[in-house]
Amino acid sequence: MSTAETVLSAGDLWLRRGDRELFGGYSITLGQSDVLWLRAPNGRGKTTLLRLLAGLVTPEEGWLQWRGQSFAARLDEPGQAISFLDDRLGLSRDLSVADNLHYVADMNGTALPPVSQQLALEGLLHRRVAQLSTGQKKRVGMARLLLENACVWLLDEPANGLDTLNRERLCGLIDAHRARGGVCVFASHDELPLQHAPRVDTLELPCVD
Amino acid sequence: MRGLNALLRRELQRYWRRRGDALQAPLIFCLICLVFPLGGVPSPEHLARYAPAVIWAGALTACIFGLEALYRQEMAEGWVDAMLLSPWPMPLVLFLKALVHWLFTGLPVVLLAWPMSRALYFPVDQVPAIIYGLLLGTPVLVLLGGIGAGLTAGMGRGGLLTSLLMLPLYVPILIFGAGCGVAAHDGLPIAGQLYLLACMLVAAIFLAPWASAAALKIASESS
Repeated sequence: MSTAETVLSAGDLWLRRGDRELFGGYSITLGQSDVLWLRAPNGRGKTTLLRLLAGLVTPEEGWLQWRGQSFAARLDEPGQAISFLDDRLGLSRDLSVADNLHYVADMNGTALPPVSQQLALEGLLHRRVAQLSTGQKKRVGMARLLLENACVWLLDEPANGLDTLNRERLCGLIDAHRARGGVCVFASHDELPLQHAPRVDTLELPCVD
Repeated sequence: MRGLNALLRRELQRYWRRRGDALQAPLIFCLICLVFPLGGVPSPEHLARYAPAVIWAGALTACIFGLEALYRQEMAEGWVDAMLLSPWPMPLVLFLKALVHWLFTGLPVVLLAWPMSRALYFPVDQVPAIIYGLLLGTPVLVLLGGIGAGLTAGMGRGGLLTSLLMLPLYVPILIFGAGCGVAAHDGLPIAGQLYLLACMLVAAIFLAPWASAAALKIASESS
């Protein structure tokens, strides 16, 4: 893979969480249309790695690069560079789904109607986020992901609580994102029915307890 | 512009949905102002003398009380992470947030200060001194409080810690704010105190959002 295609890369990562050391010198390179499945047992730092790649956690040692330049270069992208989605959605539970998603759309200069159509959210738009079921929340989270329109998707357990239909919807989104040249890293315990088999990373590293 | 409008609309909607919670701060302010005379010497001269101190202590307590809620829920809902990743500058976002917070907690206190100072027999033609002081001082309380609220946003219960952290920074505002009322009561000029409060407000507007953003980033890292 040439460096021109590399979107996000990191190396020599090292981090201490409590008295545990994570990622002893871990390196990762994500190129265009890369889909990576983090498949590791609990407690090996999947979530921490995703937050690290998002820039939400700073490693104690190691480097991160954006398109071969410094990591700060991600701020020069025309829109949002990286989206991170976990169980918390990033939406206000007191507001309706429509209010929340209109806000995300306006903040990112994208349009809501095509996205809500794609995810069949019309029936949920008037409900408050606090009233949604787990699977419905996940679907609304996917809508946020689409509205943010970022190049790199970092998904923490995206398929938890989803039924078969919505799991396929999620995979359709990831496949489409990949077809556009987007990057996706997801942590999951179950295999997702993706069109192209993803790269698998088990984070099997000298993880000192 | 569309994004800033959306942000402002979202904040206003959130506070409007939870207006019961937001209105607790002005309620506490009234409570403190009205309970004070019951415990002290209820003569008009004494009350008028202490009115600025009571009103400012009430405003400060009300402000601290509301601060805990500033980022706690946003942190739990993942909004902070989403905003840190968004291309919008975090200090600007947090400034707008503080502005809306002040609209729902600080502005009612400023408005209620008029009837409260009259209830404490503060001379009617000196009341504007207290109002001006609060108008300049309460936004500083909110902006500075945002720093402490940001630092403790990731903790389960940081309410007391936030107030302890912020109290030293609040003292100068309290001194000049209440001092403004006292000077007016004694018939002295109040321009000096108001200028100082205005200076603090300008400094807080320009510096506090950056400090809050850094504090929230730290809180998000350890969450």
